[in-house]
Amino acid sequence: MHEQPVSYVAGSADAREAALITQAQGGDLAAFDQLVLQHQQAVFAVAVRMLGDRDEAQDVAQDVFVRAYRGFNAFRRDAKLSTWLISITMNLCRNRRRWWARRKRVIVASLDDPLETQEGTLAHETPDPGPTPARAAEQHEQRQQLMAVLQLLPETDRTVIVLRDIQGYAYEEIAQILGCRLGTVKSRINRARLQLRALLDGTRS
Amino acid sequence: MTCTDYTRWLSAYVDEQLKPAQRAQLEEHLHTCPTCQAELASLRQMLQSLRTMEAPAVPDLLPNIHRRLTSQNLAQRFLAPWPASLPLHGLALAATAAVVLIIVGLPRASHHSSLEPTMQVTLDKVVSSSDLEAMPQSSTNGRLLLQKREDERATGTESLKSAMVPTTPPQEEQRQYAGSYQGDEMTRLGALSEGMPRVADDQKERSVDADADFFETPSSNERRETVPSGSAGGGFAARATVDASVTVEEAKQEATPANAEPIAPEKKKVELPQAVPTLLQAQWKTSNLEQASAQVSEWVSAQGGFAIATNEHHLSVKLPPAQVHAFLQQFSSDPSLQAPPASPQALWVTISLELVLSQ
Repeated sequence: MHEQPVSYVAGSADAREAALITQAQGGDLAAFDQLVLQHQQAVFAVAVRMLGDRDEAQDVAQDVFVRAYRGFNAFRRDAKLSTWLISITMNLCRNRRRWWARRKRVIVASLDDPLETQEGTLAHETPDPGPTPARAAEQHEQRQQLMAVLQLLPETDRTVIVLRDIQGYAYEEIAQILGCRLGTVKSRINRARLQLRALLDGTRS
Repeated sequence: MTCTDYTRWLSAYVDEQLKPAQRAQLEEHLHTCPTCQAELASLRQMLQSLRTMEAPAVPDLLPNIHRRLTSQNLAQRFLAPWPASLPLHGLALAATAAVVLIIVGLPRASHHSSLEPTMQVTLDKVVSSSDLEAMPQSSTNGRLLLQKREDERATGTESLKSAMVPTTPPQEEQRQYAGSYQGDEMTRLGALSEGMPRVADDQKERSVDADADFFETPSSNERRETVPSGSAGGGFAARATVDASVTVEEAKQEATPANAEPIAPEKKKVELPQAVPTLLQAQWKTSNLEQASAQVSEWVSAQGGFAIATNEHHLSVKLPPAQVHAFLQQFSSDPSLQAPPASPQALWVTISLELVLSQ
């Protein structure tokens, strides 16, 4: 059996999650389901942005949770569950790309429709309320372009752009997810943003 | 410190990762340097676009997760670190006997949904016939499974039920399940034995292996058809999940028909005001999408621009303004669409090109 971490305040969200984790590690499928529901949005979003394809992302996301369940004993309780899950997600996305590369296939970024939003409302902050149709079209165009260009970035660059600039993880969290030093994260982010902008502008090489 | 040096700090600056001294130094420089100010503004604009990307709608992952977990369970039994790997051979044999009885009894049931109640009744017997009380851990799982099924009967949810009973989505019910039937049942009933001790029986294991082979055989088209299109092949490629190859293959193949529809969008033509000259929307009628796309890419690269194909129907093109007229002559089906007046600052003109299949 696993010891309950003593540092959690009873009743806090962390404590609740810790309890669910303990139950899930003991084989409680219902508890595991709860954890999936809490984390599936983040896992799926990362996968979709890393792979540029919803179906691939769905497959990977499911794989993440399956592996998490089976390897739950490997989860160190002093780390955050989300960090661990996203870490697995990144690894599986990388594997999936390599798999496709070996088979000389390209993941077709099926971008036009499938990056649907939640019921058409924006989950993140809206840039400005009620843009004009022309402006909205331009923004849509820009985002499509962003997503397309994202897939063209080298893997390491795309990784930090997705984690930092799209998903909004803190530098420290990213360092944990990727298992590298904070300084490395800083320089990677810097470089990635430059790369991205270069691709977008097309003015520099 | 030159501007080049300062621009290296901008990224950390926007993330508030600079030390106070550096930050002060940079801000002081920014006061007097329009170039760096412009860089900063450009960076912020790009980050703003990224930050406000809409969250993708997440599909329901649980059903497929459960399918994979339970179908793999038997094969993974010996590797499973947690509770249910208690060796109780006596019960294992009893469980096997009970399961074999079920297998023998199954073929008479049709692949109709009326199968359901029969199966569930029989499965109830299987679970209860093994002495669950003797194994505290496993009995929890067993009870959990029973409880879950009762819940599902009450609420009609799909999650575990789909793993234990060969239900298929309504539209699939008419499909032939017969061929893969026996194989599926073995795995699924094996999954039920989650509440039972691990099965040490060799025969059981061999038949599971046979299942895995069966599932992996590319020629089993029938099986492939029965997988609901949304599941992306998650459930059936049990063993193949370990090496993602087959799963992805199936997923790709299954996904294609499902995707075919959404990829033909109604692209709304928007009249962009002249105030935004760098963004053009164009349409090109063609009889071969792939060829057209390749043609465009080639031409654009030759002219020193670049083209990104976002999907088979759409390209995002960046061209020097001087080339836009020639581009439109070649690749636009609308003769009235004109190149915008060249604005002195614009290094690029962005063209959103939609490829349309001509009848």
